[in-house]
Amino acid sequence: MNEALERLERTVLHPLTHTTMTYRIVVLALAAVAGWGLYAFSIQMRNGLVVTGMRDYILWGLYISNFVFFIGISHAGTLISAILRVTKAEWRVSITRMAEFITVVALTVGGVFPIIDMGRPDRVPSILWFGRFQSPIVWDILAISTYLTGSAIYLFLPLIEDLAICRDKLPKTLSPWRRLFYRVLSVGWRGTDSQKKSLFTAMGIMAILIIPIAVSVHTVVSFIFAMTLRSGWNSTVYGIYFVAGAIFSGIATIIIVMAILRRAFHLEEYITSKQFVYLGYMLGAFVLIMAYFNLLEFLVPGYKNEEGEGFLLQSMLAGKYAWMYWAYIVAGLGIPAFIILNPRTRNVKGLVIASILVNIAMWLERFLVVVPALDVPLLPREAVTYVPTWVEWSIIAGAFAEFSLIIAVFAKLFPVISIWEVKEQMEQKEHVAAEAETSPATTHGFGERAKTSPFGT
Amino acid sequence: MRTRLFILVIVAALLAVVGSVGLALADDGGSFNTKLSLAVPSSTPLGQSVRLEARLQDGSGNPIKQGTIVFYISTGFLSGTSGLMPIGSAATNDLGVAVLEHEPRQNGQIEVVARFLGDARHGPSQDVAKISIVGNHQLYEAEAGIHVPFVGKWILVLVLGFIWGTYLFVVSRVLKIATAPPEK
Repeated sequence: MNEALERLERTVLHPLTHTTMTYRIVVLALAAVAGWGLYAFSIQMRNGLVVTGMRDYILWGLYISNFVFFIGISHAGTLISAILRVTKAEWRVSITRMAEFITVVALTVGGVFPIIDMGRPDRVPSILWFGRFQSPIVWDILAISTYLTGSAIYLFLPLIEDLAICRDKLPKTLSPWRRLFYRVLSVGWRGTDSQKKSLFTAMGIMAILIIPIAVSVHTVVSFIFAMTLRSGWNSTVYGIYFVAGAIFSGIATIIIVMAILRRAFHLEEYITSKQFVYLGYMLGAFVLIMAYFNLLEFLVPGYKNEEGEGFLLQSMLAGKYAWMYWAYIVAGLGIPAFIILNPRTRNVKGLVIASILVNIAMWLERFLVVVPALDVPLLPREAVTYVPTWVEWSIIAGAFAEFSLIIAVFAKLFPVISIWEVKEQMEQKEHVAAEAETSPATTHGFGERAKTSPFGT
Repeated sequence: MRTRLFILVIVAALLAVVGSVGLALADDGGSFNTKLSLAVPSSTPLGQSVRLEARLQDGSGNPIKQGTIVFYISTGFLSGTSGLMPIGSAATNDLGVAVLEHEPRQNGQIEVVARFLGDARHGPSQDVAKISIVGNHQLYEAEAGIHVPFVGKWILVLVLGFIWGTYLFVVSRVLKIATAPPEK
């Protein structure tokens, strides 16, 4: 048992002290793309939004689509960590940390896009000084900043014990600033009973509180559209539809990140195919939910066929956006459903492919929410086409690179697996096995630690 | 003799030029001035359409065709700004009459202004009239939305206050961890 625990610490802490050449190359490449995105943004700052493809009719494009997409994948952390923690799903223990990373990073990156879209970031404070409570943009700012703060707290709390392990177990040859970093962030953790009580109380509160906050955030994001009088956006299901889409892309993102970090840091012993398959089942369930919402979204307005709705449906199903829509249906729902349902493809490789497809399709779906509705003419006018410019594509590429870069840097600073929780789980299993050996007829469930832990594991 | 004749011709030519210019100016002076008369009902029930009729004539009393008349109502906006709000425009017909149908949305007295902005041959003119809109209710809603008792922005403030208060409590737990005494 001790050997297994030591191996766990050794494996998880190893990437914090050893940097491979591949890692350096990947980080440099990501930094280069992120830098290119910043350069493109500087061009936009200098010349204004005229360097984008957005004009008076289609005034939201890639930026707002990306905003919705990133806020969506931030639901990974809430789902995996909070919901599964509350429901005592044992298998989530080794992947919670990654999910919580994704949440904080996705919110940080996605939250910037409305500011980029504004064209005049210097006017952002005006939203706070002159904003009205009746405005969905003000709701968005309040909701996202509240969610980001909550997610950062929720990421930090379970990290405290692991940061203390880093403080105590990492070699003394570590740079002084890293040692200071772990000493400060571990907040003097010694594992005393009073400290455990305080930590578990805080974690228990945050695990419950973060779920309604996450749901409300994506509902509020949907309100930017649903509260606007436009064909395609006049929908009462938009809130729950956005939440479902967010969880869908969040699960897909965590599968991809999990697969990359598992392979890069040799975590196969702790992140097994079990985690992938279980997340695959959840992905499959959300394929059905999304298909249902897509049916609702189009069947009801399509049946009534009000003028603007008819125009929108025509352009989505058989017009200029049809290739995107059908790509979303086939690649985002059809192929992933086939991969998940087929036992031969329901493995790590298959699920990663399904997740990549889901994320590409969900990005297209976000674009389809934003742009085609703006293309519906409210007055007679010439047909317009939104063609994003290189500046927009560069900023988007920069954002994805930034997202990956921050995850990569996080993975070098913090243990990507919650060591204390996995350890706790291993001890519980051993405890249960020992009890079963001595008294096979009696089952006590979780061990001693579960009495103090907020939800057990 | 020749010199006298030459001077006579010059004087006659000058008189002809001055006279024709004077006649031309006199003629233009008659048609350049315009007169606009606005006819409205003295009162009308709230919710009913009002016929605003403006008659445009030149200085001689002849109707001016195809002249654009812009109608305004005098209004105040956000208790600080006030001025004329355009409510529509209409072109004059063969009788020099332009008509606009308008539906007032507030009771009380409103002031209607009709303006002809002028063109190359006609000068500008305007007229003002008042209408008393009679009714007990307002069609204009001063505030958008539905008023539900006990529902307001304070709920949002309360929810946010609860969440951020909980965050503060959680942070206090972390501070408690940091300041916890060592176990004996």
